Amino acid sequence: MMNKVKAATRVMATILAGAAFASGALAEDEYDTRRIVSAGNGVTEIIYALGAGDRVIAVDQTSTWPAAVNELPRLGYHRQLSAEGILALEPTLLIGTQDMGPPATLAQLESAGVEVEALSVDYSAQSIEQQIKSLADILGLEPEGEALWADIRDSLDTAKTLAASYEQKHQKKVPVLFLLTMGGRAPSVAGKGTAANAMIALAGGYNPAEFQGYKTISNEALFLLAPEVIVFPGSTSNPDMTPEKLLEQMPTLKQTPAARNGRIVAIDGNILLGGLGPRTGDVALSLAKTFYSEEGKTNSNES
Amino acid sequence: MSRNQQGVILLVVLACLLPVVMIISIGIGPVAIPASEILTILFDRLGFGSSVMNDQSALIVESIRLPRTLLGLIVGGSLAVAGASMQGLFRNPLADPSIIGVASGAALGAGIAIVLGGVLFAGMPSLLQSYSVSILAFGGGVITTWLVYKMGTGSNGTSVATMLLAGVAINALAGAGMGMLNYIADETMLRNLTFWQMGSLGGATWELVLICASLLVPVVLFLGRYGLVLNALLLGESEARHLGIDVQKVKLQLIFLTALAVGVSVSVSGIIGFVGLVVPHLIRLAVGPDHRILLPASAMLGGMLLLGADMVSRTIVAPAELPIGIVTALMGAPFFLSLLWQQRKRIA
Repeated sequence: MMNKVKAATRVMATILAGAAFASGALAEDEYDTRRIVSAGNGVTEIIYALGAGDRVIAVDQTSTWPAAVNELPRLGYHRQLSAEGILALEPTLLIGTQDMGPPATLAQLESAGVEVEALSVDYSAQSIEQQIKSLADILGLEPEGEALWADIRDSLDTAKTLAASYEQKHQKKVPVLFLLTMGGRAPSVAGKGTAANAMIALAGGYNPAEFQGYKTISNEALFLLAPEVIVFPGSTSNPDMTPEKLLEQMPTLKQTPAARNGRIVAIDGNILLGGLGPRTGDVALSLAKTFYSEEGKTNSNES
Repeated sequence: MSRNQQGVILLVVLACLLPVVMIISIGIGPVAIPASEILTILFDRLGFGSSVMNDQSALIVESIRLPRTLLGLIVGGSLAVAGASMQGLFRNPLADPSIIGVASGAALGAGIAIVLGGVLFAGMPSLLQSYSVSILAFGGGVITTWLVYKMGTGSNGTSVATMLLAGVAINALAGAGMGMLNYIADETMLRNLTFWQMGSLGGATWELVLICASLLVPVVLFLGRYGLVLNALLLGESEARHLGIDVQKVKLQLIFLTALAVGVSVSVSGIIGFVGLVVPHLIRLAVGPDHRILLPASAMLGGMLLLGADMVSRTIVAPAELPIGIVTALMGAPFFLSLLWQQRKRIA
């Protein structure tokens, strides 16, 4: 008898608490977003860009932007999440990509009452739009989401226009290579199915490397690909590496059209490390400006 | 006090410490759970009385720490017993399960599953797909061991020296295969490969613990019965034969059992080095080389050491986890070196 009364009281309390909760600030939101754990570079960047960074309590290893995330606890690699480590942070919501894992950890988190949201992500502009939309929905920040995507779309459109006018003039796209260098050894080149490849395409160039993923290639093969622009990870992720140093380390690069025209560009490698995100628009636009800025010079070279 | 008495005392001490280490292992983790609560939860699950408790603590103890502790105990014990048996069989203090190719073969199998699994297991049932890494790792370990054994076996029986050499060559071949897989893998596969090779007990579920226990516990118990035989083998193969031991049969059985123990361990937890090498040495330095003591003592100490390493692994960089293979090598190697340094006169 006692037990029954207790159970009934508990049910009542739950209903009341639920009603109070539903009528509260989170009324239109089915997610409890008070304490978010973010397991994905792009996801973290979008949450901060939407202005909800103060709800993030921990991030994975690939999240490095904005600087504020460096103060937060690190979850490690997003495929090797530790259930107990995350539970100790008392999160309400874990957001990441389809790459999050292992499945056993996610199942344990869910059974402990943490909501787990895995966004599907690929290297395309549509995927950025979709991620922003989903996250804005989850966070209840739809207007901010629309504004953020509008900004990115504008930058991408401008890059596209630049590319289109160049293409019309020259009847071809600019061949661009993304190089990873490791202290004078043969460089790795980004092929298809990489974030770098997607970035080149969004900036209106084309990647002459036809293989999948990153491969080391010989100097001879590099000449055959004849890149007119070479992009490499430098600036904040690797401040010691400048175009001059790159040429010093790999003198053979001097013979490529890109080096002859002085079009070797450093970009922040961290932007590409975890896929595409809210900064993709700006990066694509600045790359596009580089690709098509010194048109006169390229022109004289070709003629 | 005779060596024999020392050995028995060591076994008793280890047997008393074992439950203590287990309780500590269940008690330590990123989420702080008071010891009283842990005991309550454990007793409750064992069927002694029931009490109201914090649901989250119960969940953490029940579905995360308990299976993980049991898995660590089983895997650590198996690796250490396998190491002790190998060292006895090869009469070589450097013998380690990796020498006969189990570890590198398992790594190659796991690598194939990680890199080519999408193609190979495309039409298979999902249960098979989710265990493909473990299955191929186990298969790889057993196949390489069998190859090494066949290479070492001629008309005059199995030559231990030839087996060791064949093991070195097969390791190199498996290494080349891994290099090839690394080359064709994409970034995600590369990260998975690297993490797998550094080992982890993080995948522990009750299902896995049951599979592991049903295979490894009998193997460890079987290996434990080879104490006298291994003692005789220490005298030399022909001496053992004169003592009435069927040396060829024993070799085959021991190689099969160690391959099974290491193959299963590696397939569930990745590559965890140094436990199989260091633990038997520690016991030998303490109580001498009597395998009747060495085998059971290694099993217990191996389990405890791996639990200790796992506690470090899951707390030191919380909320992330440091791969346990790094911890065992980082703790094991300097410790082993210092022992060698102290004992160098005696060993030389």
